[in-house]
Amino acid sequence: MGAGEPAVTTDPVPAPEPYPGWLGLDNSAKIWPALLSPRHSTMFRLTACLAEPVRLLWLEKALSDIASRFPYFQVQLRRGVFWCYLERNSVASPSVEADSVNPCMNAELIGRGRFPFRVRAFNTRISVEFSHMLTDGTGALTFLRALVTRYVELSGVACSRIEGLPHVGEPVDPREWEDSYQSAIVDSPSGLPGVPTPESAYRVPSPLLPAGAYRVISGLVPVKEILALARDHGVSLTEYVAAVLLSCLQDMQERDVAAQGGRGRVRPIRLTVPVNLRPLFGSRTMRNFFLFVDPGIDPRLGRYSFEELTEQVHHHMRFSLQEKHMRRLITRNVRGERSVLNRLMPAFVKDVVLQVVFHFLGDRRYSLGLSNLGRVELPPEAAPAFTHWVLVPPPSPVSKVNCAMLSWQDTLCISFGSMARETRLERDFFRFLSARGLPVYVESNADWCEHRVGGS
Amino acid sequence: MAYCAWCGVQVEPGHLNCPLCSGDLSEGERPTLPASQAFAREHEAVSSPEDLLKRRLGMAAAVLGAVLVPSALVCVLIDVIYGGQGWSRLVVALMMLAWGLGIAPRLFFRKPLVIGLVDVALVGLFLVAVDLMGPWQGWSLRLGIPILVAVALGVVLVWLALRRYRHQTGFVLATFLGVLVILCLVIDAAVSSYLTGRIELRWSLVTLATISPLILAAVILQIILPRSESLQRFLHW
Ligand SMILES: [Zn+2]
Repeated sequence: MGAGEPAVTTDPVPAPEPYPGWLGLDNSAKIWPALLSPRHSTMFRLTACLAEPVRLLWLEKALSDIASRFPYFQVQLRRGVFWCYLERNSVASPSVEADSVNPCMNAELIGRGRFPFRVRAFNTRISVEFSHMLTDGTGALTFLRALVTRYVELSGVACSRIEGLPHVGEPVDPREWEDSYQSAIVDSPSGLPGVPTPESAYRVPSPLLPAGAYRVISGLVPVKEILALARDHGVSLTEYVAAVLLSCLQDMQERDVAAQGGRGRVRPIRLTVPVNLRPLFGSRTMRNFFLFVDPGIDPRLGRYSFEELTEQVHHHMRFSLQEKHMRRLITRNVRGERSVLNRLMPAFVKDVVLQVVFHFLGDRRYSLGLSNLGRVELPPEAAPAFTHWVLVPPPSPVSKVNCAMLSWQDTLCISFGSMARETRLERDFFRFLSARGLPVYVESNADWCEHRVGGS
Repeated sequence: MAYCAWCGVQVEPGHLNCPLCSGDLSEGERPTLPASQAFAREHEAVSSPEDLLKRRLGMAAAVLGAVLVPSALVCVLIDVIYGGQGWSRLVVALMMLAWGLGIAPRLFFRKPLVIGLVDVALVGLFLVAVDLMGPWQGWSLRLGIPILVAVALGVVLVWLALRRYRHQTGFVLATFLGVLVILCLVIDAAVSSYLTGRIELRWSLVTLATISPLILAAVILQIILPRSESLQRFLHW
């Protein structure tokens, strides 16, 4: 292999694409422009950790190679009178940026020539940070998988094609940029049952880190061993992790209430778990297509044993994942978006209203977000180049802490992204796992995140 | 590699303290997990939002009745004791109106059209009742009722437009503005006919002149919009 030069130099044939000049934001993205703030960046991050240091030249070439395969990411966000929209960007792809101490922060997302996502490189790591205004975890993961596969190809390894991984040069399927929410609604003339609004939940009580700081603590654990623990309780990996989080939060709330002499208010504890809807509705979209299910407990009813927690989470998840239930939620959301009042409001009014609504009805109802992107699949030839993958959840100043996980071969990475000064939840969570015999390897920006706010 | 004995985890090299507990690395004892304590708090019944709304409406109607009926009786009593000028009749009518408006949403739960009709009828009755009591008789039929009916019809018209043209903002806007203008015309006509006996339109013509270009613009925009992409993109809603 020549030192800096990419091995494959033939340009992929650009495919003809009927991608339109602009698109409105999809249903779940519509709320985000209103909530944008230095603390609420709407960005999440996916990192592929390589066995060797990243070669910038290859990465830049790979990025420009795959750009034409993802025309729906070649966009800039603009503000219209009523809504923001995605417009074709005259630049093909963003350039690779240097990484910073605080991920997912300090991004200018709206405006001509800017991208609602960025590609960053540091040491052995290739990261993408996508705004939720553009796509969800599955969309971003597909992009990063295609990017690093191309990167590995450029290093001289021929990769076979695998199902579900877009290939450079193939035509773009128009279904990849559809707003799948719109086709999943039900239109019943007799109306639909309403969706009850849960009351506000217990949240990690802690002062916030300074604006711009985002602390990430990731724990790497062997998939086999944690899966065995989950199987012992007869639940899936996500359900097990959710139960552990609920257990930690339950203990934390008990201690908080006890510390206040028993006068503190006991609140429900509720997680919000995004679920990928693509398999359920046969969608191929690369824009947002997920919904939240909210397993939780109400400690006002008494203390839950861990057995009860796993059971509660397991059955709640099974119940919520029914297609009919999902259609009901999607229909409610899409109706909200289509309501005349909501649409007629100019964007700046909408921003204020959505901020208020989100503040009182959105994040407050949840103690914590937990997303699991599942297993990362790459062509077998590319696999040896990677050690592990990391998913960092988007920052939220309301719930303060969010949790996200994904697995690569036998390494599960569970990451906490937090704006809280305290690390009690992360500590309790990983102590819970290590107390059950799991070897945990922790990596974090905790020592530096507060002192490197703003720049790199 | 660094190890936190408190948390039982390995920590990536380069850290001075454990990211989880800020404890020194490779030092200290392994703690036991926090002991669990028995715990139970008050229990709150859970009910569906529909039931809750119904119950709240019912409660509001009951409270309204409980407040209005005794105070109306007290007013009548005071009026009779101190001379009987009859002012209590007005109070009673007003309170009956308030009570009627208050219980309608509960009586005809989830039937907006019926509630609207009942409300209009109640207000109409109230106007007639006040008219019969007052010194200047006859205004309710010539002034009050026509305006009331016009307002009610206008609201229904806008509602229908919202349903019919929910994806054509221009038409909805045009209907809304049109209804506004017609209302102004009706009020102007009714007032002038009541005061002078002749129908003379004055200030409402100014409203008509100001608003009709807007109506025209809304309709034209609605027709042009489907044909212009750049306008669509900027104005999409
Ligand atoms: Zn520790």
